[in-house]
Amino acid sequence: MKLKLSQFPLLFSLIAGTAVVTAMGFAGRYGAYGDYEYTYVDSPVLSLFFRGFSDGVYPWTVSQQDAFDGVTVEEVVDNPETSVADGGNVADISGDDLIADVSGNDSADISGNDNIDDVSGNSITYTFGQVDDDYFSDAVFIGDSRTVGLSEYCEELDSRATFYGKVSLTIYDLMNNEFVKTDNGKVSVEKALSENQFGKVYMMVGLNEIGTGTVETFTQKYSEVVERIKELQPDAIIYIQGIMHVTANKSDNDKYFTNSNIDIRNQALSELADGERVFYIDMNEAVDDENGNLRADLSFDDVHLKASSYELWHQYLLNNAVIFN
Amino acid sequence: MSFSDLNFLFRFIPIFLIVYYIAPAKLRMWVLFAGSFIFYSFGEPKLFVVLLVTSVANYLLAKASKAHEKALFISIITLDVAVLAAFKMLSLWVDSSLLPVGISFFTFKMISYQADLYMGRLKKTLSLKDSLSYFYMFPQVLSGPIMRASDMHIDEVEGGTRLERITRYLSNIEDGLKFFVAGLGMKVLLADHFAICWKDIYAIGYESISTPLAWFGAVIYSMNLYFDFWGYSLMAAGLGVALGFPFIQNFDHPYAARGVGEFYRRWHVTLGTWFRDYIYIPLGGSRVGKVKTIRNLFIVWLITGLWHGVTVNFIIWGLSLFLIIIFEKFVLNKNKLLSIVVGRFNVFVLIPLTWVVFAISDMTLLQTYFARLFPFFGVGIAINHNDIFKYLGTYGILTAIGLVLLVPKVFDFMESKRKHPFAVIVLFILFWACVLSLSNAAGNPFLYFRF
Repeated sequence: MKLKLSQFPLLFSLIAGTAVVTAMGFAGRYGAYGDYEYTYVDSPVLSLFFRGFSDGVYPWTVSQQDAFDGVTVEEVVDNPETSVADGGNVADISGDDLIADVSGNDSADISGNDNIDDVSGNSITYTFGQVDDDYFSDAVFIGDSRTVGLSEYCEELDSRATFYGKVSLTIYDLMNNEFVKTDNGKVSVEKALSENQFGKVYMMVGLNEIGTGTVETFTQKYSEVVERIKELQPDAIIYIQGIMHVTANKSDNDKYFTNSNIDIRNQALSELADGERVFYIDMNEAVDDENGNLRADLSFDDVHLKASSYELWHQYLLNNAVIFN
Repeated sequence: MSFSDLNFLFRFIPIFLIVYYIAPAKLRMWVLFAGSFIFYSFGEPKLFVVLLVTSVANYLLAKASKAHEKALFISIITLDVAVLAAFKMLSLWVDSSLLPVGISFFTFKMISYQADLYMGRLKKTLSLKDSLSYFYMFPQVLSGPIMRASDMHIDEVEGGTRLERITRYLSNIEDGLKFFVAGLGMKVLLADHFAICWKDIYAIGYESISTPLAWFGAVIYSMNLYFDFWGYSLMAAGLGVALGFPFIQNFDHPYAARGVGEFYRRWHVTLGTWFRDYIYIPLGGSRVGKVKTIRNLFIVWLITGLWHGVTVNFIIWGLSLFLIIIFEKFVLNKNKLLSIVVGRFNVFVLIPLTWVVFAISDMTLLQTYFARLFPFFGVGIAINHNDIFKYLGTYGILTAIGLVLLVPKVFDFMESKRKHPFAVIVLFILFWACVLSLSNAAGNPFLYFRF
């Protein structure tokens, strides 16, 4: 009588499978999976194969380092800690001075530029002022789960504006991820914006990708996306919304999702505004506590507004629309 | 460390199984203790010494005791209960991290061991290696099952040729693996997703959920608990089988019960039998007249509530079940048809409601949730009445799968066919689906916390 492996089919097929996926993990470790944050101690190398699998990346896929469009959320160009925390790699963002401006307390330059001279020397003047809900009838809101929440819990906006919101959306997949529902199935935001014209484009992304990439890569990509939207929507103005804060409970206890990281990115985003077609607004002033954190009573999970608190965001938008003189 | 952890699945288990089965039979319990010690201490780096000290203490005290020797028995039991109570109170009033992992389970094992010796049910004390491995064994140390010491015997002398022995080991592993993978699937693919849904509902704010969503939430949470615990019980039983222990039934299709009383004989079987054998029956059970029976049930359910958690909602939970059970036992039993119909209503409607009480420890939030379940009091702000459609869209299929698995015949059929090649293929796919899910949750903290 001999031992037959077929007597133990599950055991041996799992052993064989493990060998295969482990080999795949090793094979791609420094190539296709090179950008994935991973140490051998964290988990078995086969986990790389599975992470790649769900991103559509395989051991034989050419490394995506230069191609931003295919970038996964895991992309880490530099160590995120040094590039964000002490401003090591980031040219302009260097510490506390600028953060004071972004926290919303000193809003002179960031959220309310009154008069800016454009390049040709002509003054385009505008203010941030009050509008009513009909202002949003030709608006589109693009963003992550916070924007999704806004569409669900602000009936005045949901009944007038268009929403392209998706949980876990990042600036890297904003244009190309096919999540916008149409009569012909799901299309990308790029396609949807080429087929529909709006008067105002509101954007809020940046939280999901906060622990990856650098402020520079994020801002660079954001800038490219904004340019593309300008092309697709020649008659629209674009509102870059600063990333909403998280509560102190999250900010004080998390490695990546801190309000200082958010503020650094918001500062960078504010510089993309040109005062002509692209504007920066920061709704955090409507929801923050005195320390620049999302008020604890406005959120149950430290990251999203509770349903009854979306009205604060709504009111902020009503009071901070660009009014050209 | 938990069972649904990649390092456990691909590092700990393979190495452990190899060492365990290479070791001669005489040393296997030492290997089990050593491996379990590593497993436990990894998951409880701060307070791991508590289990060690209590294990050795119970071993020594058991050796010193004799059957029916009351004084020593009372002291040992008091000690074990005091340890449990002390840490529960510390975790409530000082810091929630001061509760050693699994303490509710290992102290109950210790109490059952001492009681079985005292009552003469167990004739021989366990040796040191058997005691340590009994209290520590990793398939049970986290969340049970609460195995009895009498099941703690593995043949020291191994019969058969080398080939026969190896065949036996591999058969143990193959069989255990099937239960383990089924349990893993229930936890990772079902329970963990229901948990995310429940968390999302919490984030909305209970004052803002529609009534249909509130009821859907109760179903979702009930299913989260169901598949989390059934999954865990199957994984624990599978691991036990892989090591040569008997399959321990800890979960027996509870929603097939005809009443709440029966439900809790099927849900967490080993806990129910523990309360029956060590509290209910010693107090007289149901043989002491109506009043005392009610008193006995009250004591059992009060302690059951406290055992699960020390905040007020757990006491309410335990006592609610007590009231329903009394009602079934003394009122409904007058009419057979009524007892079946109302009993089933109790199981399908009242039990999920009691799970909501179990889930929410903040009294204000709990009240708000019930006000949304029964919206006659005008409580509610910013409700999106279409919210239910969104959640049905996302979780509808999983919920349907869960409901189908509630039917005993479905799982029993699959279990009976587990040697069939098709079953092996399904389990194989299920396993890798779980690994996919776990890789993406664990490997990238950002992906897991998707906003």
